[in-house]
Amino acid sequence: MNLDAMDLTTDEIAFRDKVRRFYEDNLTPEMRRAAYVTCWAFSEFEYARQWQKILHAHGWGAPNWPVEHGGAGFTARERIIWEIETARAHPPGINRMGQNFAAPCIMRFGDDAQKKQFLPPILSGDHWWAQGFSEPGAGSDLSAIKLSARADGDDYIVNGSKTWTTSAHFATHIFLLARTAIEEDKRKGLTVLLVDMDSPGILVRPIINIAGEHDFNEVFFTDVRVPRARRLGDENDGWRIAMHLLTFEHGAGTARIGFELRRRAASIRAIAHAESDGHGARLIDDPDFSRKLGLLEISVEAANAVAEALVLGAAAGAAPGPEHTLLNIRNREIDQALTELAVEAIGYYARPISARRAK
Amino acid sequence: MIPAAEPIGPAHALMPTPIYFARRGATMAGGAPELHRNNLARKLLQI
Repeated sequence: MNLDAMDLTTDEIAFRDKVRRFYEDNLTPEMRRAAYVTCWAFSEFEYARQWQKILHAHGWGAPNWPVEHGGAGFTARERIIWEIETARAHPPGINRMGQNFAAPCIMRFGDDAQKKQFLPPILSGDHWWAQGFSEPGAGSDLSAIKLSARADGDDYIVNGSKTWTTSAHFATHIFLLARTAIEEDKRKGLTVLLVDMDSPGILVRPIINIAGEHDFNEVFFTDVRVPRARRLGDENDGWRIAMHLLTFEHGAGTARIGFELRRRAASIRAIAHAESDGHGARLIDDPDFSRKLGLLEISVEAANAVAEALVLGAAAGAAPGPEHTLLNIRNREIDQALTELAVEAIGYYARPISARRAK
Repeated sequence: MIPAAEPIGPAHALMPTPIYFARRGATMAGGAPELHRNNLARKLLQI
């Protein structure tokens, strides 16, 4: 979405300009490059950490958090402006797994000691979290989780594995969904544990894609001892916590994602103006390519229109519903189609080369 | 190994392929969109 849809007030325009100045003043060329070569999470992690520290020093470490936990105190509409201006500036990624997923669950289900221990370091960028949900055989059916946590004195002993774990190779902590009981209803018997990644018995094995990029990992747990004090909420109540987290996951960044899809469609259009169709004409003048791009641009605009309605509705107090999940699925489909068309646009230059070779 | 090869072509040709491979996996978090569509359909149709 864009800010034109919001009919900004004078104060909101001043806020937008303040955010823009902040990005102009603080984003270094190295950070911009790090963001440019990032394909998914963090191609250049050190710059992401530096950026989080700058945000924190400015009081904008986690704008969406409640003020009592260090949030920026933005209004709902200011948060939308922030998201869109952030997408426009394109800084290095933040630790979304910690800030947007683990932290809201710790705020809602954690005890005071857990809030005190875990929330400030997420804000400052000292702790980076991974999300330990998906397993081999438990992805779209999350209730099929097998990784076990067996109570033993003051600890749980964790055995099993997680897969497709984004950024586990950088993470200091993992938000782990584990099975603590076998029940007929598979959704029962799950428990959330907050685990240090340097605990003895954890092995991180990289999943490196064909272009040489390393975003995902397998994480293996062998007799890993996790203190009971690291259990989030009640034992066997993990499903409710996981659903709480996924509501955030599917609703997070709605305004930003729409903006980014639009930017990527524009980028393909620019490439198609520069590239040839292989017969001496511009690719953009090829009717088949032009039709595919046009259809995708319409899809992007339609998704943005839905996003605007949802985001502005939420800012006016509407409760989040399944529409966010539906839009999330649609955005993924559009995302995949855009990436595929971008590869088609560059033709024989489409070799799987690491993005970090970009100058 | 291919990822170690020197990039060729214009600057705009460098990013689409690594982005394609990275996001193809990332946008399937928790299962492909088709699976999620089916899950939602089952829920809505109560089947």
